Amino acid sequence: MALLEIKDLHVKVDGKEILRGVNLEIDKGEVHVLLGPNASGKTTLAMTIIGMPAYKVSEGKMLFDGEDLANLDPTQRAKKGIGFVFQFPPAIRGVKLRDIIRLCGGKDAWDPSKEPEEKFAIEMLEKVGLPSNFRERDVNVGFSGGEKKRSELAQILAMKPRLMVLDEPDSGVDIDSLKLIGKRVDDFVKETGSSLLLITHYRHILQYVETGFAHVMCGGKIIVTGDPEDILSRIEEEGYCAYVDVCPPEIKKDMEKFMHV
Amino acid sequence: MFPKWYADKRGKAKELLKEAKPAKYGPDVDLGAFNLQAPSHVKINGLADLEKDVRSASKVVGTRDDEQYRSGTYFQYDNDVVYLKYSEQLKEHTPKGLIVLNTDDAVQTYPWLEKYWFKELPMGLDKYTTYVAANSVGGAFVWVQEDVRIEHPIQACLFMGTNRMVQTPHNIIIAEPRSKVHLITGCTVHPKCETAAHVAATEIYVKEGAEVTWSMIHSWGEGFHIRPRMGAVVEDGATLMINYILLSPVKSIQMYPTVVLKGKGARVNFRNLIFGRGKSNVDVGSGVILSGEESRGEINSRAVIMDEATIDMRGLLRGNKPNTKGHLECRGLLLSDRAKAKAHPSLDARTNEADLTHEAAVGKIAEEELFYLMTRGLSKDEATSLIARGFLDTDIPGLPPTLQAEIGRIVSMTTKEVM
Repeated sequence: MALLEIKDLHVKVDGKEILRGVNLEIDKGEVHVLLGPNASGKTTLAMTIIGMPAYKVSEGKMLFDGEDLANLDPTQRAKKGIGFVFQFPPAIRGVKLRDIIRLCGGKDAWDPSKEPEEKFAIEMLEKVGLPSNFRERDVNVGFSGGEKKRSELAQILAMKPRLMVLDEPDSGVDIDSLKLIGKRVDDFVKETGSSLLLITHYRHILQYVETGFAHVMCGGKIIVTGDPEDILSRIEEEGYCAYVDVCPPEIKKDMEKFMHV
Repeated sequence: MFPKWYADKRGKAKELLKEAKPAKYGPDVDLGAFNLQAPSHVKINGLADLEKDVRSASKVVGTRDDEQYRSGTYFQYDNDVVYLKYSEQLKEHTPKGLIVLNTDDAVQTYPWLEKYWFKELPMGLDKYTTYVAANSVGGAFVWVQEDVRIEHPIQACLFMGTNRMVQTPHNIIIAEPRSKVHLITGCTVHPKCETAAHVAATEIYVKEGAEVTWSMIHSWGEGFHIRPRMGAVVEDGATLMINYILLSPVKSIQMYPTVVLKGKGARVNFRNLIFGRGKSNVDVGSGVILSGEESRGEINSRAVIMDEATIDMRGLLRGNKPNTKGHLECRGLLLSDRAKAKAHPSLDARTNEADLTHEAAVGKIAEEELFYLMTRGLSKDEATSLIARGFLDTDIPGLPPTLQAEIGRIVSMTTKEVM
């Protein structure tokens, strides 16, 4: 039994069907990369996996460790071991990054009368290369692109998830951040045997994250699955047009529209 | 012996009271339904001698019974000052630098108080001010001498334990030039005292280059009507900071403390943190009159409103002089469908060189923030509580770190209690 099994998943947002029959299996310790043009449904898939209420499953199902996710809210999914790195995390005024990291790690918010010097959050911040004074910052308030991604990663590492879902952890970050994020994710997967679903547009992060499978999503469906190196090379040479021919007819039209074929 | 002017002024207030009209804001309270008298309470030798219920209630509003990190303690139980003491350290270092007295005693010791008596807070302002002017009992008188800078705050607890009484303290703070002082007034009630009124007058005089901080922490009960009145004047290069924290449900509370920035470069900073709980009717404003050139005023109000509470958050910035600057921020977070919040910001520029701005927002928690925290494993309630606690930002600039931590703890405890 795979850790995550997605069967014929259809998802609507505001009444509009975005996912049109996604099938995906991720086994324990496997690393999957999800590619695809803009608006193909990659983020929708991620948001549905973590249970964001605006993403309504109309058909199909998702099983995590054999359990139907339909009955679980985002809190319960997180507690089962699904950790998610947002592409655009919200800024929350007054909520300290230190406390969120601690809560992610199953600890209480920092109480200086019980623990004069905070240790846990600082250790996580060190891992992702953020200065220790970030512990006092309000989460995501005034953070740069790279700082947001590092802060997201610090939280997820503290959660010790069984499945990490990363939504474009490499977008809008400089080369140093990219390298660090890639390496930390790879280390974590190798140390803990966690599974990973990595959404990206770029090959670059895959220099640091060892990947087993690649999928190409288009028009709300996964249209190709295969070896990451082969798929990426083909996309880089020919663009996503390379896969127009493998699209089911109902999606092909949409796909061509996106690609101006 | 009370000076003659004192009797005259009380007499005048009693006359005014006959024709006094209800205040502009808040439900009208029939003060005739409350008693000015209360049983007397014996003096104690230390806060440890207080009855357990009294001690734990006063702790909630920031009164430290170990008196650590405090320069002095004033404890008024109903109408009696049962304890008044300076720290040994203060006695040693600035023996004559600071005077703290029961205002009733101060009037007799320092008859020159006539020139401060209801000067910044006109006794005819509204019926509650007039009522205190006619009937004041006790209150803390704090007088700090020129160039004397008091490191730790003075704590004053105004405690009520008698049903149907009205407490009427008159607080006066006078900070002589270049002095520095911080007063914390914690106001609270005995758990057995269910209904009463608290009508207070506070006057603050911040002279050239002085710094005054006044932190009020209130914890009342569902049957209490609260009408504090305050007037303050800030002179050249002086700074006043006013922090107000309301923790408990009340029947009604209405206040609109107003500060006149009279001097050049005078500053004031208001910070209000309010829990609107139960069926509370809360109407809290802050006013700043920028009458000194280059004066600066800032008002920052945050309210978390739950249950069936209603809140009106008011603010006034009036720019009378050029090169003045004021900013007003009112934010209300509604945690229940039945809670109501209104913000009434008011900017009044009387010269085209006054720079006045405001931001106001009332609404519920953004779902995006809630679900973000849920994906981190927090339940919906835990996420709501964390956001509400963060919203009531207790990083108050200029507070001593220990007090900052104490206030943080007080607000966290209340957040936990209500969620």
